Amino acid sequence: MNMKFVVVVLLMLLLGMFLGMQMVKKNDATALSINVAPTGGDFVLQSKYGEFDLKDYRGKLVLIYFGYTFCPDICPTNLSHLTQALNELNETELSRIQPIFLSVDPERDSLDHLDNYVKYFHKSLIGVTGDELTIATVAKKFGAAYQKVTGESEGGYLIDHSSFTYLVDQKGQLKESFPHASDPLLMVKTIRNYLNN
Amino acid sequence: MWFVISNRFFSVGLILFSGMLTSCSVQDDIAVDNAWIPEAPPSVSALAGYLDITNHFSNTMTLSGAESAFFKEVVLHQTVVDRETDFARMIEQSTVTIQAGQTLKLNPGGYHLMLLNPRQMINTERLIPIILLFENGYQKKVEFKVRPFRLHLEAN
Repeated sequence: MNMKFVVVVLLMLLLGMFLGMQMVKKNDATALSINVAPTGGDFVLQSKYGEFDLKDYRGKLVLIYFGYTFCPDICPTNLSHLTQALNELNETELSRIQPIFLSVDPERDSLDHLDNYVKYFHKSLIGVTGDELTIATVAKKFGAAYQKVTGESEGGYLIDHSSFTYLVDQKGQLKESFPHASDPLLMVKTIRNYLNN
Repeated sequence: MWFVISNRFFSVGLILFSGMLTSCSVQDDIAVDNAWIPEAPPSVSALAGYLDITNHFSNTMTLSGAESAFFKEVVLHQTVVDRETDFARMIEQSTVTIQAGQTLKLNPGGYHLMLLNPRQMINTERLIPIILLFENGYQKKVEFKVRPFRLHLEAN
């Protein structure tokens, strides 16, 4: 009798553990889900120079990259590709574009640090960030995903994240998503198409 | 006379022997190429190191880490980008094997050395020594050149 009871309890425990694991997996998948048809949309975040309101940039093309300055590989790669594209444009074209680096790591990326970081890549880049809830809302609008990953190294946590560079047109509509390490010349071609329309 | 001849033989033998040693060290070695660190803003605490590592040994070599006096920590990482979602994950690697005769390429968006908390300024054109550590105790000192990312883009 006692033995049967122990077996039943053990089975219930195993079932509970299995269901629990399934729930954890489901939650992870939700956290990482990427909206396949992002719509974009306005947002207000903070920069070293004050409030950054996307609405204020109507009439300009806005290029947005989600990342963080502690990122050693993906972010510098994409920012370098973007910089290379920006360097191909003349001053008149540049004056009609606003590139943005949106930090998903407000905990470590202060506004000053963010500004120093982005200006190293290109003078026209603005670094923006905000509170965690606002960043999550903006990321969802653009279909960007990110997830903090705790590592064992000295650096603490890393952040896995989407590596698209988004293009918002002069009317504030999300139009293009350049994938990771896009060819700068192809980016220039697309940018010019939007500037000339 | 005998002494002179034997001395000549000894010299020639010594030269041949040292030549053999040299050729052995070229073949039975780890060769590195294109070691570079993209220049970064001075305030960043994480940089990346890239290079090509060719295994000229006759057996598989396992890269198990790296160290440098210039950084508090060096970690072997691999970036994996999901081509469908463009979601990039950075995965810490405890080891990476290199088959005999094969080349492991550490490139932007792939394998790389994550260089944490620089102890000195990592200026452009500076040579940064990093020691590659292999599982069997073999070590390889490599000098990484700090250069603009732009040069990598132009070369590719």
